[in-house]
Amino acid sequence: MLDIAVGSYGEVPEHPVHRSMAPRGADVAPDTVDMGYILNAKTDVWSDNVVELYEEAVARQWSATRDIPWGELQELPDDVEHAMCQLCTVLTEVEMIAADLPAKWMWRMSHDFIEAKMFLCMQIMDEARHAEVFRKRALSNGGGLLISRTAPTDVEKRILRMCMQDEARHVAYGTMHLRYAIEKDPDVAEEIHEALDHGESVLIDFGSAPDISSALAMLLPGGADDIEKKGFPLAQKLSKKQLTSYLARCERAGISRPERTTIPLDLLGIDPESIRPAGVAT
Amino acid sequence: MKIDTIAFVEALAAEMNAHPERYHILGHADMVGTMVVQRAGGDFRARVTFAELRCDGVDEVEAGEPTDWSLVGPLDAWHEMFDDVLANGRATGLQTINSLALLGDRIELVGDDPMGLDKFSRFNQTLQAFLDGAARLAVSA
Repeated sequence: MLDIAVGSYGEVPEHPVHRSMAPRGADVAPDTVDMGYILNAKTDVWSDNVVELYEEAVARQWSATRDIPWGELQELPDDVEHAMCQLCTVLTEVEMIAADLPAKWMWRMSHDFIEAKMFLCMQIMDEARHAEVFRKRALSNGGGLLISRTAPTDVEKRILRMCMQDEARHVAYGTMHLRYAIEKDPDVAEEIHEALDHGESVLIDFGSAPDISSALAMLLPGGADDIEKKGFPLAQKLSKKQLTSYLARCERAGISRPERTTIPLDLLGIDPESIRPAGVAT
Repeated sequence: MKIDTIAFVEALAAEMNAHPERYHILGHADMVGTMVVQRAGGDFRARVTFAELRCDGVDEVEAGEPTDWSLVGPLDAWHEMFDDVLANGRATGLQTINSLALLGDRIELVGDDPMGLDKFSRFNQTLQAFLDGAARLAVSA
């Protein structure tokens, strides 16, 4: 895609002049049907790394059947298997949501932003594969789906590592899209802040729900015996790392959250200064 | 071959470059990282540059050289990791680089730019395969 983004074919318009299904760069007849797209500004969808990320996504596709050594899956103690199945249940849920959301926007986006649409297609495929792999894991070892970073064996480790590669790519697009949008129109920052206010509230509720937090605390030390002494402290350490990382990415995107967030930074031991890396333009 | 030497890291790179078929299925990787081995007498820092299916550059660098990410840990932690690779043919259990970086108590993932840190995650499987290459080298403390 990078190689063919030449001349007028490679020029992504800020505001496409038509809303047809014609591919960017083609001649468009005057009576071409209007598709009614509502995302017709480049700032709505673009990020400067989206073409590179699309290529990366294509190159790094994997199979939830072929690339996971299912034959090496070991029988686990009941408590650990139960916790793993709970974690897989939750992950299956959220992966399908993560597929639904980009799908909801894709058909509303101008075809002139084809690279961004193609990237979202890959994201949807990635999320479908994640839902598949977690569902398979939940059902493959005597457990099952339960009430709707941690891994007991190398099979689960490989599953999570492969998924992490995909998710990091999605985050890279999201971060740079927000940055692009804010650079072009600083007024959207407040809208994004409001969405994050809501999202963080959901994140805190989700992360502290007993089904997922207990499953993680069980898996981290490898069973129920050390859940109080090691499991919950390790789970809190992971939360701190996760939220610090999230806030640092917000900074990178140009959305500074420490003064606004309701995440209990003090309680989690997060120093706001530690998430403001040098050289970040805000 | 000692793990805190540029010769060792170059050997890992040569092993990767000699076997593109192992990396093809993983896809291209474009990132620059630093492996920092903390040891008595001064840290050893090896910068590794990945481009497509190759490790294109290995060089010893001073502190403060900017890279996408750095993995920092004491010599004994790195040694435990490579011992596990040697014993099993690849990293297992808590000795995978992702597990080590996630817990961060033995080998820590650090970097100034979240986009650079993301590359550690985006190309993690390639990095793991690169480190697993030690199984095919003669390694010592």
